Amino acid sequence: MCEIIHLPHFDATIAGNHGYPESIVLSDVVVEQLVDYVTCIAALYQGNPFHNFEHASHVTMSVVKLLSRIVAPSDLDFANGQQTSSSLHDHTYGITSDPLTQFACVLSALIHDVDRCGVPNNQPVKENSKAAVVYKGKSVAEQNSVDIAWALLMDVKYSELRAAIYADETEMHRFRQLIVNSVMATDIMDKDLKRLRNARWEKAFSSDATEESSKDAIDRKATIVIEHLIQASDVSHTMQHWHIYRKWNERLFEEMYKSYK
Amino acid sequence: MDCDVFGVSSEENLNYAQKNRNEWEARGQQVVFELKEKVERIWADTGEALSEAGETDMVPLGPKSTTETKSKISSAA
Repeated sequence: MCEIIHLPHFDATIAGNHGYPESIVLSDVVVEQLVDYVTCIAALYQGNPFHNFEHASHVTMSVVKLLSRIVAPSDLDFANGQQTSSSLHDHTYGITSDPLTQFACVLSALIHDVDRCGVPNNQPVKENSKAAVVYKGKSVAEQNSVDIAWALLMDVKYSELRAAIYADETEMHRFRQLIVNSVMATDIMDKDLKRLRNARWEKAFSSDATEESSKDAIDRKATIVIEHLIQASDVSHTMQHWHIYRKWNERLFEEMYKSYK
Repeated sequence: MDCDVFGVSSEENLNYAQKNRNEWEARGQQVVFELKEKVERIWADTGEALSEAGETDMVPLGPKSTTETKSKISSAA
């Protein structure tokens, strides 16, 4: 995990390109590979009452919804398109103007519980399982999910898909950082991680002046907002209608009951 | 939210969360009692979990065994 993920600077040329990135048409090969990748990810989810592919889909929809609802400040001058793009970029810490960041958020939601078994993270640690040893007892399920999903994406059969996601090694590095930070953010049971995350939020949004550059300060905000976006989405059923809340609560109850029985 | 990027959406989520918390305060104990009873009854009768017994709308998705799915993917690749 890294504390600050560096998002791209505002690019006026790209922002001026009307309809970007919606105007980009993916080739049939890329679409086929994406469908195949999602199908494989779906198959790698276990049949748990709660942590299953339906949960992943629910979280993914929430991330998409939240990303689509990132808003412009009310004082923007919409008559000036370029100025609007620039202001929106600043207001949202660069998240809205970077398709790679947004795709990484959505993909992270889809893969965040892949291969998760229906027991909490402390169980494999207690049992000193192979996975617990490999991941040193920290965020075992989440690290396993990242590794499985990443290894699958690196398969030779997805080369065109990867080329459509990132153009060079720098972008690939940023893409992976975003996925690692996002998926790790879904571990809400680890008290140390939670404390660190809260401290990072405080540092990013407190009014105290920091010595870091303005770009680092903005990227720090973007990083922690992204982490909270997926974390909120992971428990989005608690922020939806009572019936939805009850449905997922019941599933979680059953999963926990089976774990502790 | 403090970061000020989600506009009214954050209010909508907060409203639902607060409503659910209030509802849970009022009915949570009864809900848990009923869930516990339901799970224990099914397990005692059949040894099956709720979702497997079809008592609820819970439908586990995906194959049961990871090893099974991994081998399926390997053979498909």
